[in-house]
Parts: sequence; C-alpha cells; structure tokens
Amino acid sequence: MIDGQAFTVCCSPSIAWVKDAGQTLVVANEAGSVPDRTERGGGARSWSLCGVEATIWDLLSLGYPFERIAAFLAVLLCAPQQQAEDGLWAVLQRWAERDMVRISGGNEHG
Amino acid sequence: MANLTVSAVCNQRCAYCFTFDHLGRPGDGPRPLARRGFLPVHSFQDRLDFLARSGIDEVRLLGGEPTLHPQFAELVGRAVGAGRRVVVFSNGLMPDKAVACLEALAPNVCTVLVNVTRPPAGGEDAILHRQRETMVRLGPRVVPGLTIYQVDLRTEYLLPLIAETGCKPILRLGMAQPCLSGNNQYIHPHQYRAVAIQVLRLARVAAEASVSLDVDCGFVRCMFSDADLEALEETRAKMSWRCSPILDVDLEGQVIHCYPLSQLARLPLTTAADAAGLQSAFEARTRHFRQAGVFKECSACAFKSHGECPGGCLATTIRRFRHAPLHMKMRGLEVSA
Repeated sequence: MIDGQAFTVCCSPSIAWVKDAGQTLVVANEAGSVPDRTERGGGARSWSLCGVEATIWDLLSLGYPFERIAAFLAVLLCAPQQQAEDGLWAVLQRWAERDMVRISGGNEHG
Repeated sequence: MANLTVSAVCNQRCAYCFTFDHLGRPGDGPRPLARRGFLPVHSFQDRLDFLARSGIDEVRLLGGEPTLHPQFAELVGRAVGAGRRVVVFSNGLMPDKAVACLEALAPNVCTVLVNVTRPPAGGEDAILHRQRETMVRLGPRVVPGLTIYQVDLRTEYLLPLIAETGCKPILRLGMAQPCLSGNNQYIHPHQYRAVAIQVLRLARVAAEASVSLDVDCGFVRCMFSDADLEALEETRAKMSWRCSPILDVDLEGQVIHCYPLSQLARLPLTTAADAAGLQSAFEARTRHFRQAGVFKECSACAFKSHGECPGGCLATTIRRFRHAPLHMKMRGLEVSA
C-alpha cells in the first residue's frame, strides 16, 4: 500500500524504444552507446510490449501523470478507478524490477 | 569479409558519405577517433595477419580515399605478396602512382570499385574526366558503383562511361544510408519506393547495354512488387536484401560493425581476434534492435519473419528508436500494491 506519497517514474538511462505497428519494442541499451555489458552480448535484453502495456508506455512517454493514465485505463478496461490504479502500479513495479523504469521518491510529501 | 581502413583522408566531399561520424568530412580535420591520417605500414601487417587467421583471402582497402596513402603501392604489394586478392574502394581520383600500381596487377587479383556517383553541382565534368581516365587505364579491374543519395539521381552518363572504359559490365548500386548521427545525406525509407522505380528503370536501360546491376546492402524486399522483381530478374540484376556486420577495421585498430554504425559499438582488434568471433559479437550486440526494421510494419512483416529480408539497414532502424527519458510524477498516490 502506497499512501499519500510523491513518486517519480523515470525511464532507465540505458533504455531505447520504438513504437512499431503491433508492439512497442524496448531494448536495454547498456552502457550508453553499447547495447550490452558483455562482449558476447549475453546480457542484452529487450521486451515486446503489446496491448495495455504498450498503451501505458505510450502515455508515459507523452508525460501524462499517473492519475490521468489510470483514469484512461479505467475507461479503456471498464474498470473502477482504484482497480486501474492498482493495475498501473503493478505494471510499473514489474518494469522497475526489469530496470526498464526507475521509481524514485516515496518519502517525499507533496 | 572485412574492410581495412588505410586512409582517413579523402579528396572528395560527398554529402552522403557514411564515414562522417568516424572519420569526419574532408576539410573538417580528422575526428578524435581518426587522429592519424594514414595507417602505418607496420600496422597494415597486423591487419593482414588478422585476415589470415580469419581465413579471408581478400584484402579490401577502404578510406577516405585509400589510394592517397603515401605508401599505397607498398600496402598493395604486401597484400598480393601474401597471396591475397586486392579490392580497392575508390572514388577514381587516384594519384598516378596508385593507378600504375593497380595497373600492374592482373585483373583476377585486383578489383577496383570506383564510385562514379556525380556530385549535385560544381566541377562534376572535371571529376568525371579524371574518373574516366582512371577507368580506362584499369579497364577490366574496375567495377563502377553508384550511390543513390537522392531520388531522381542523374544516371544517363553511366552506361556510356562503362562502354567507353572497358570496365566490367556491372553497376554496383548502393543506397545512401545514415550514420547514426544523421549528419550525412541519405535516402529516407519513405523514399524507398521512388528509388525502387528508379532502380527498375535503370536496370532495364542497363540490360539493353548488356550491363547488369548488383545491389549492395540496405535495400528492402517490400520496396519492390513481385512484378518488379520478375522484371529485374529478366535484366539479370543481382538483388539481395541483407544487413550484417561487414567489419571495418579503423586506423586505430578498432573494429566496427560498419561505418554507419561506428558510434554503436567498437571492439579492439586483438592478436587473438578473428572475423567470425567479431561478427558473432556484433550480432549479439545488435540482435535486439534487429527485431525492428526501417518501417514500423517490419517487426510483423512476413518477409522478415521468414528470413527473406532483415528489415533494412540497421543504422536506419536504430535511428527510429527513442532515447528520451520517460518521466512521470505521481502525487498523493493511494494505490494498493
């Protein structure tokens, strides 16, 4: 439960992405210009986002705040606002675990 | 395959040159990665050793303009002396001693790819005159090349040039691709169809003169309709859709995937490195980007999924990717996690 706290979600610095016709492809472009930490490429990663996840990524890239994305998802999924916010938070956490995004803050009040 | 850069110096200023990110434009001075103007002869021997342990029997000399290397004849002599075929990528504006050196080689051990793309304006007749002189002297050693860097490029001079000079009746066709910075002139994917129509027209005219087209990397299958491809086959045009690590070895002993991708990754040319290992390393580093292509439809395209087309030039593909940071603030959040 996250309650009354300010968070900031940022894209990890190594991430590059492209919006394709059927997916949003996210690539971990490690170490800036080099898309991998290892010489043989064993650590390079990518994710294909489709459907709701691709929509969330799109809205995130457009700079929409959490509440508006959640409101949009509530309409899109015909779900209550609280359920949409929970779902959005779960997606963000999953992305944070993959280091696609970084969530900072949590102790700030605003 | 691997190309050896022996010169960062060039006597042309082609707007479409894809070495811009790595070597800088002529007149701008060399970039930090190319502080040297020319490859020292002792380093050239290291490059030959690399080719030998990689099982590559072709020495491909690249620049800049490679024939401007002050010891060009010695480089060629070492390559031929090691039993290798020599391929030179040139603009045809060679010093006389370089022409003489290549002229002395049998055509079966020497190919000179002469880029005869005309500049948009200014001095093109003088340039073409010098290129023609070089091509006449080198005759069957020469394969002329054209880089399409704008739609409706002039091509009417090409077939007479090929007929007059006695070069190979082949026209190597390239399509200008961007370096990652995008600072060179290149064909945008939205222009590909217009280029395809131009290629088809050129192939038909060339076939009437018994000249066939040989297309370089970066072309994509969907540029052409099935009917186009049948027509091209009738002209004996050699079509292929490919984009793979060429391996360009720079003056500093760094290996790059190819010049357009020189800013993506560099690997050192160690005494143990061979071409197969380096290619694998580059393939591993780029494979995630290769899921996409030059068009947003590529990742779901049947030509791509069946392996018929790689989705075009990887530099063009990577330029589609966004790197701008996502940023979202959440205030007063009350959600259950």
